[in-house]
Amino acid sequence: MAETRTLAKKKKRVVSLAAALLALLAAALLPQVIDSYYLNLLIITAYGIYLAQCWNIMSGLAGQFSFGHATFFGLGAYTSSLLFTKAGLTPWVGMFAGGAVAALMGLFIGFLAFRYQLKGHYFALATLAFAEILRVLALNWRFVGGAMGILIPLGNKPANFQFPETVHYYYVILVMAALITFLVYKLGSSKLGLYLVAIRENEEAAEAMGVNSFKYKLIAVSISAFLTALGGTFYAQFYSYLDPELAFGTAVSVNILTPAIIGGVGTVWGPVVGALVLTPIAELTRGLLSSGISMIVYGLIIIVVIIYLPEGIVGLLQKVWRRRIIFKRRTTVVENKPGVKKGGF
Amino acid sequence: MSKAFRLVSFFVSLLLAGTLLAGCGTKEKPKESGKAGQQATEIKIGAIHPLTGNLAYEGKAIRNALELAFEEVNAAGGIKSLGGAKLKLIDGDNQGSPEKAVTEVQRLVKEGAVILTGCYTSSATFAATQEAEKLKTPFVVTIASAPNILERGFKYSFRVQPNANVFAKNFIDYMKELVTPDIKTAAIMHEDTLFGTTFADYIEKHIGETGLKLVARVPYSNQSPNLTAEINKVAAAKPDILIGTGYYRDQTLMVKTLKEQKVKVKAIIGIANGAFSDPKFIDELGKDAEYIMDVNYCHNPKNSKSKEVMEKYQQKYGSPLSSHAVYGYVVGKLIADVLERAGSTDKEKIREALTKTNFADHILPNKEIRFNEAGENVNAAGVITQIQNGKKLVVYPGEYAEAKLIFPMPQQ
Amino acid sequence: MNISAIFQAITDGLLMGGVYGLVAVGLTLIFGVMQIVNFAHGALMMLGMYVTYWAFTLLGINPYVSILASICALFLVGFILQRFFLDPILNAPQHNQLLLTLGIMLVLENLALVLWSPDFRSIKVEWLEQGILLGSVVLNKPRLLAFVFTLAITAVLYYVLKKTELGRAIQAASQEREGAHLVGVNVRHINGIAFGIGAACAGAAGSLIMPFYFVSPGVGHVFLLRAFVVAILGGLGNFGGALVGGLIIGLTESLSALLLPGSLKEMVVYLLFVGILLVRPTGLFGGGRSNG
Repeated sequence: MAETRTLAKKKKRVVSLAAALLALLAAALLPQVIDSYYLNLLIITAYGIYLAQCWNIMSGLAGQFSFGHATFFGLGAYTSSLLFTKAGLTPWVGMFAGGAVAALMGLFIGFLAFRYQLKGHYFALATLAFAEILRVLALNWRFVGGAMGILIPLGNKPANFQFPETVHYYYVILVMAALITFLVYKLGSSKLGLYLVAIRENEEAAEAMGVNSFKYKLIAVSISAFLTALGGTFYAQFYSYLDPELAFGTAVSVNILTPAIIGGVGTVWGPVVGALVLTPIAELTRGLLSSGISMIVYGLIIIVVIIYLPEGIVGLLQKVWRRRIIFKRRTTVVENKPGVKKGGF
Repeated sequence: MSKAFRLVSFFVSLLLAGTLLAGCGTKEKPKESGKAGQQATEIKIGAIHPLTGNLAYEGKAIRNALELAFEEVNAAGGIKSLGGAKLKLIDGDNQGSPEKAVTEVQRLVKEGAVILTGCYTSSATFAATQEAEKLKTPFVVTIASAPNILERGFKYSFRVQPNANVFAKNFIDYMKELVTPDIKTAAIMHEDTLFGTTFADYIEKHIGETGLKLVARVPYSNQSPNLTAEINKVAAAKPDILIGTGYYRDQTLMVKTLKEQKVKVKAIIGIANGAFSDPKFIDELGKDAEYIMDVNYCHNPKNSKSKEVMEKYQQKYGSPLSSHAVYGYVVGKLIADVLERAGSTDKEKIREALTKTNFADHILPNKEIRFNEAGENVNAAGVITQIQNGKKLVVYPGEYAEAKLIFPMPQQ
Repeated sequence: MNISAIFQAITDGLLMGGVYGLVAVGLTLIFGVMQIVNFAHGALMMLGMYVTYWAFTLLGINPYVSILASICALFLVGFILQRFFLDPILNAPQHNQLLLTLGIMLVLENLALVLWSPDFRSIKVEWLEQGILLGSVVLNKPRLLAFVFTLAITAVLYYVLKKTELGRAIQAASQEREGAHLVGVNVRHINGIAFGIGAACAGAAGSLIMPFYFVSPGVGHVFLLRAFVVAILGGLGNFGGALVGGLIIGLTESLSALLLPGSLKEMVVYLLFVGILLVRPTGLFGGGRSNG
């Protein structure tokens, strides 16, 4: 019995991995058949997935609700861009320097916040305040460009993270999005991931079982910060302009977390589905409706999703799926044979 | 986890497949208007401005002025070299952000726009011009003042308005001629993002040439609801003149606070000021607006066409034509001229025609519009306007002046 | 820097701080009762500003009279918002609540944009124009009035919450939701009323700001982040604290604008904020629960 179960599990894993790879392959081949308009949307979607996953690690998995991911995003973007424009260091290296700076910042914020037991809303507002402090600092600091921001000189040397064709940017961000999704998936079943979930669900209980919650929360924050910073570098290289508002503004933080919440916080596929759903919605409403009304509709869609799908789209799917299983188990004697993958919908 | 994993990966592939289908299936037709030599009956022009968010006020005005210009052209028979083809404005909303600006460039080009215009904020214009360059689509900047937008060697970007350095240089040049011995010191108050800072930097560097001494430089956030402390900083430096640069809301607040705090200066001069050149500023401040000067773009009061355009705009949109919107209108007319000369909706031919522009039939207080290699209008320049008896009048330089400059302002 | 400029900055900071306090009072009340950080608060304030603007422009009603209208209108808006949008998610994770209030903000702002265009609008009241000279210090009349009205409104609110049946019910609901339900308090109704009162405070603040500021659909952002800082400073849920917090922030902002170079005044406010959060997360004067 136990053997068949592990076998079934293994089989399932293979199937899911194959499906994921297939989806990735499809995503990689898409640019062959679409024009630059859709390509741009794909880039935005993949970019949205990537950043939402970063947020998901800290806020979904570890449950430390950040409302100031712009802090890490901006630090990454600024560090790599400054190194590139001032010292000529390629952003491929600079992005990791940016990641390190952001991770340090994450450790600093995390240390202060966890040391002083900031939780929930207070933690969220504190992260927001850090982003704002950095924004004002960047605005007033001449060395980093001040209000002028940083204009990345154009070029098309792949060695400098600058590509002649837009599609190359797409492949870069697609790989980043795929890798981070895989990472989140792996994290979910790793020891670290289990600790994080335990801390999220009940910190006292986790502590009582000997999990050093302080340490693991710090690890989650710094991983998330590091990865978010890489996204910041991508932004700077793709749009080739950066200013304090674009790097540290509240809008950046909101854009990072929206797909994750709409898709499903703390799930592997939530950010993916969220970004895949939100980008076309934003595009369609803007294309079809006049400017103000499109934003109203967009806002209403968010409101409706939050109210009716409190666990996001993926949460709903999971619920439907579970109910099916339970239903199956009740009505049939055949167990552990979920040959329903085709009839799911 | 795994069940969901599989379920969702199925869902994801479904979505991707859907996008794919949508990508190949729909919207095939807009391509035709891009083909050379075709007799289009309608030519689409994309306008990308902030239509929502906190810059919507300015964005909307520019967009409306473009629309007005196109309507005029259409009423007069459209583009004759293209068989009377009509101009059609298609709207893009960049919400003030570069990401949205890029997406809108892509969308509008896909919908068949052969020329793009925009974007009001420099940060969005950086991104939009770059994207238009990739798509080889001509881009005419309506308003965006950062000089380095056109310092990147783009072939498809053009700008009619004077850039920030030109403005600031105009200011310095005019001051050289206007400063009298009893005016010795100046203070500058500017909003602290790209827009205000560019001007302030230039002036700080060059103000010595005018014989003035800069005694205070006070940046402030344009989101600040209160500027009293900043004004008191200025007051403490006792400047003879106050230079202001910023947006409508904050610069209006600045002048209001100045009057309320009873700070006396011999002149208030704006540079590309979002408030001093807006007709609403006069309504709002009444006599406190008197004698305030601004080095800015403006319509040409000596051109009889200007008045006509302003009346039409007021009638159609219920608000006066702002100086930003003047450029919207001029760009609209310029586009008609370019298309007329290109005789084609081919983007290459349009670009060719743009580089050969020699357009004098505009309502600006400048000579004809001609573009240099970088795409800047070589004759772009600001004028000095001053508010006198509740009207904003052009007072300098003499050839466009409709009234005499009163400087320094009389003390009550 | 002369001494009168410093006095000026102090008075001015205090007057402005009173207004921040009023915006934050609504925020803190909503948090105290429902544990929701309301990002739509700035948008509600914007609606209050429009009420006063239209009352003045179309009907010629004195802005200080139209406060009543905006209090009523915003109470209604708040009550409805709570009933239909916030009530279903009261027990949802806080990121959901946050995104929901952000969504409401987006809708309200763009509704205003579509209905009333993006124009900056202001009202011009002759008798409010000139400042009052007090020694070397100039007092801005509309801000002075806003300050006085803020005190009055907070006093009334204090009375309502402490001395009336309704107030006791609200307090009960905020302290122990289940318990209040057991002793016969209709928690759902009370939540609606509390949100309504919170929104009404935002509306009143909007009306008071209108005579010395501008309204446009996005104006709420100017005040929103400051209101959060103020509310935290005073202790989320503690509205006497919110008022004092407002004064502190107003003062800090005004003095640092005068004394610091550049536009660093915003940063000082946030540094103060982070400092308070770390050292006394329940605010200077204690507040509701510290872990939201």
